Amino acid sequence: MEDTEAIRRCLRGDRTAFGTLVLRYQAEAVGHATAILGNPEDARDAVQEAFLDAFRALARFDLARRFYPWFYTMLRNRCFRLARVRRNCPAVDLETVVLADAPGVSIEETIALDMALRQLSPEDREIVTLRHLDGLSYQELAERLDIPSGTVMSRLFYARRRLRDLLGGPEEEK
Amino acid sequence: MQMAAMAIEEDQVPEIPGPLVREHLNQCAACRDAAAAMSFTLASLARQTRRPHPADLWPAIQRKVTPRHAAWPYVALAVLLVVYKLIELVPDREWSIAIQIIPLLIGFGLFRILRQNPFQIATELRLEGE
Repeated sequence: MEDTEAIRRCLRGDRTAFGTLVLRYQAEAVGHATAILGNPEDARDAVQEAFLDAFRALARFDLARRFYPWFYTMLRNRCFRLARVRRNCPAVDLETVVLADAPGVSIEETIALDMALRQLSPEDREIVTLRHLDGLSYQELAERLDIPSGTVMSRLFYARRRLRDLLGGPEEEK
Repeated sequence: MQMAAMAIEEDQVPEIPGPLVREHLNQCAACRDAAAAMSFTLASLARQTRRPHPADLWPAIQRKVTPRHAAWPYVALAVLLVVYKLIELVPDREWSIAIQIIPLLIGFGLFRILRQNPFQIATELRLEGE
């Protein structure tokens, strides 16, 4: 069932049609929420609440748009709200959270990068992972994060520089 | 300057013209090293993928979005229907309007129980318990 059909059916009263959207996007959403929160358990809570937000707001959804980018706005609101509460409680477990084991990459490198990512702020982690793990273009990032393209460039630059510094890169001029 | 170098590397339009950026990088060892370190970090990121996190959220969400109806109103309506049909079987009845209003009451009761007009598209969805 297409997203738009599921939404139409849901609005007509078939609330189980909403399950189509949840099942289709929950894994992707948990991945994105984990990248922001640095913690899969919190991420699942945030995703669940975001889906309930989306359900409440479904009547306002523009059927000409794609569902996930619209939903993502609610998801990141939920994540950042939760991140503010959790800000002083960083995760310290040693297994990777954001990154998967990749072929041809040593586990040490993946763990080091994962830990560095988790030391970034949620905002930095979000933009870096959307750009480099999901491959979003600058234009897509601007739309997804609702910021101007120029801001994408500067935010990405500073986020990457902080990541590079966390990985032990050289100090440099401002 | 480094932001401009990054923009060039990613095929974006830099705030500083490209030739000026390249000229600066040729002359400034610090910026060149920083750009190289950044390229190394980005190359490392490019080899990575997102870790999948299995989730089965639908059962919990379904409990909140799917309305649960108590059984007793349906039982009451069923009893009312049976009683109505029995009354209809009584010969020589003369209850006129009183008996004719019962189907309307049943219809009204159904709408009250379902709490929604099946012919109208919902303009706002509420969670169970809201």
